[in-house]
Amino acid sequence: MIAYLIRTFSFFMKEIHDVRRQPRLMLSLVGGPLLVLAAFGATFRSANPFVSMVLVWPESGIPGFSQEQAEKFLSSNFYLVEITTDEDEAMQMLDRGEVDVVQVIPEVIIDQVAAQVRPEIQIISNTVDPSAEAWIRSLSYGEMNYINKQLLSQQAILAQDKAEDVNRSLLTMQDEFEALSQNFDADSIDRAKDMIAELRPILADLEYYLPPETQAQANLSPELSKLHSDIEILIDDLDELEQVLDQGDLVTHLDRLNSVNDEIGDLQGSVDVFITTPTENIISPVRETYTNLRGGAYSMVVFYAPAVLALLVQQLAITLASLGLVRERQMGSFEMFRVSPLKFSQIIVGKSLAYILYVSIAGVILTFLLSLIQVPMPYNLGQYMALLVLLATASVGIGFLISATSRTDSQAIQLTMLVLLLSIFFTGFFLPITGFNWPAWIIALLIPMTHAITGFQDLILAGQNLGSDVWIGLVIIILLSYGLVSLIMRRQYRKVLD
Amino acid sequence: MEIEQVSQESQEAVRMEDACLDFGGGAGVFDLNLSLPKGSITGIIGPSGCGKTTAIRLINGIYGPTSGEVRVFGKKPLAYDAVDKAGIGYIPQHFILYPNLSVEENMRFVGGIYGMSASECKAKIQPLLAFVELEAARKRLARKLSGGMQRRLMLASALLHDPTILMADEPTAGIDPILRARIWENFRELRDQGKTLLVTTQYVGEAAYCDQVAVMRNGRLIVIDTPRGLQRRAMGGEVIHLQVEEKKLTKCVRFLEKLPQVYRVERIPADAEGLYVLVEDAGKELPNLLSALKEEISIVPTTAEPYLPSFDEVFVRLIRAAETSQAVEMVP
Repeated sequence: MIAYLIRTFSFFMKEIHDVRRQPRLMLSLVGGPLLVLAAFGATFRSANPFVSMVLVWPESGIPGFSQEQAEKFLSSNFYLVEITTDEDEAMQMLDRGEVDVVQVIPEVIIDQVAAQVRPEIQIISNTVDPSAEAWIRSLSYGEMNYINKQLLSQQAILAQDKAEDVNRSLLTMQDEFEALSQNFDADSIDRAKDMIAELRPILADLEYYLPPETQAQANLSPELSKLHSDIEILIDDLDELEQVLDQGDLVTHLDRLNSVNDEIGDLQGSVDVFITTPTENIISPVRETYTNLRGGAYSMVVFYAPAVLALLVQQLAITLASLGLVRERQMGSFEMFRVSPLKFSQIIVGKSLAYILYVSIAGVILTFLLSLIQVPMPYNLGQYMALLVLLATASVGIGFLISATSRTDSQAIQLTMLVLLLSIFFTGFFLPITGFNWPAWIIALLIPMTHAITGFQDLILAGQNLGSDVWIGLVIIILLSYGLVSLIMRRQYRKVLD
Repeated sequence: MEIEQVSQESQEAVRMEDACLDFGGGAGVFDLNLSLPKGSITGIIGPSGCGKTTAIRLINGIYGPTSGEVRVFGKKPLAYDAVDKAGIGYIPQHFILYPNLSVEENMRFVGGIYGMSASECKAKIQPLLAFVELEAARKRLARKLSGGMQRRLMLASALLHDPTILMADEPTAGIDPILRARIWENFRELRDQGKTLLVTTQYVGEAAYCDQVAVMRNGRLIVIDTPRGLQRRAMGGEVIHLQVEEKKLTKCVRFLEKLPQVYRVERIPADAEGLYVLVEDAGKELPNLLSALKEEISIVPTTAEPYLPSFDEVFVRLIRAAETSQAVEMVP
């Protein structure tokens, strides 16, 4: 047993000496990516695609949406190269590749909108970047909604102005119909007909300018929901009154007249509500409230820090271990080991311990350095250290697996790069794994970083203890990788010179 | 008879009997019969690719024979346990220690893989570094050692666990003659301490340092003998070198060829007056030949001395003889 430990320890010490004599290797593996992260933090502006645009603005402008507003709105998301009124010039700029997008705003007249004519905002692009295209379309949709909202707002203000006029007319009419009903005679019939004739265009005008009745508006107020129907009812009543005035007797006349008066009263009530309802509520009855129980999300740099930490620790461990066995084999050291009383397990255990120690120390240093860029310290230090050691162990196992299947240094480095690529795409590093089909999930589960990202995010960002899935995931990777390494390498160790 | 067999085995460190390892395509070693006496140096000499390294790897247990038998101290190498392995020291052909470790760290590592404690290593490293004259380089990184120093570091490391048999695969390859001589001095000291050494080399002249020499070609053992014995075998006897006036040379050759104690007379190429006379015992026959030449045909050679052919010459003659006999064997 003592001899076993001595042999294992000799490998541990050998690796410790070997790695400490290569400070540049450690610096490049740890310091390099950390500098990249620092540069990212210092220079990061936006995760949105950079899209340049020329805006073709109509000479007559858009009601309720000034050119300055458009410029401000677009500049926050696009790089606005120029605003012009010349569509041909803008298209030539697009053809020459000077801009990515041309946006043509049509001439919009408020009456066109009310008359249900739909002017079209044209967005023309020749981008090859799918994310840029999605970004352009999403922003165009938002911009269209914004313009629509502005136009509806204008229309609603106009409608409220009209409604005030109508309300005043309705009040006069109501007074006159009241007076007429108190003293109705043959001469009054002509006066009533004149009043009906006066009221019709007023009602038509009001209906024309009213915003369309929607369920959302109905929810806002019952009066608003029946504004259109009140107008219709009043118009019907006026029609009936007109007929009765021509044919009916006095009692019937009075009866219809009172009914019209009542309807005018109802319509007045609804119009009052419409006039006093804020424009914003009429055109956009639903609004959202957002609450983040944590007080707010982290900055992009801080949010990505745990994933970067996981990536650095994993790649450092994989790089060290992937070269660890393949170099021994290439140097011919296995020939000496094979002649000696050394067992393969002593090589693996000794090397693993040294690499895990180095990687864990590097992980602690990285954690400290990340705290300098405002990344919070881990919530539970014990769990954090355990996670770091497990991640290092699982990654060393993957590294040994690469080493066991590589014949040369360059093969091992290529495979290490392949794991790096897989880790970037399939671990939730920047693309959520739920966005992939299930085969990708298997790959994700076999990469230590997948579990470590979840673990580090829980401990550093969310401030909560780790779930059992993180521990189980890493332990399975350790068992699988070391088991496979043991199978492959024992065979190779026996046939050391094949 | 049985007692004689046991006695023979107890004197042998290594025995190979018809050992073969066939890699296919003509590569490998075939029908190796070799016996290494304890406390001796056995050299294996042969051109590159002749199977020297494979023979060593059969003995140290890296390879197993496809047929025949290999025994080291009576045990098959593939059945070595940890104790058996601790008795073997091995210096591979290339430097396989760690460039980023110092001389001492490398030795501690090798001691560690043989299960030696730190104190055991400490006690042995100092004298071994003195033995290979690397004391001053103790703290130097292995990558900063010269080729010769790296070889000596390998030697010291291989001796750290005090093996009873040392196998060195071309330990002097690529280093200067003075250093080669020093390494051979080390080997002879080890032999004198009772260790058994098996050393492969491409330098034919190094055969002189060995107690017995095995010559290999194309995976087969051509001959195994003492250095002196090899010289005799190569030349067909011991050699007397004569220098005779050119005009009397033919007469001299005819006379010598008729003498019963003379095996053969050879004219020396590029020396018009030189002759090699092959006899059983050069020291004994030289005075007899000189008096016969003087008395019977009145020739007095200008030079007459026993001649020891160089091992290069011996090697070339042995290889050519092997090629000739192989060619004869191939004739239907």
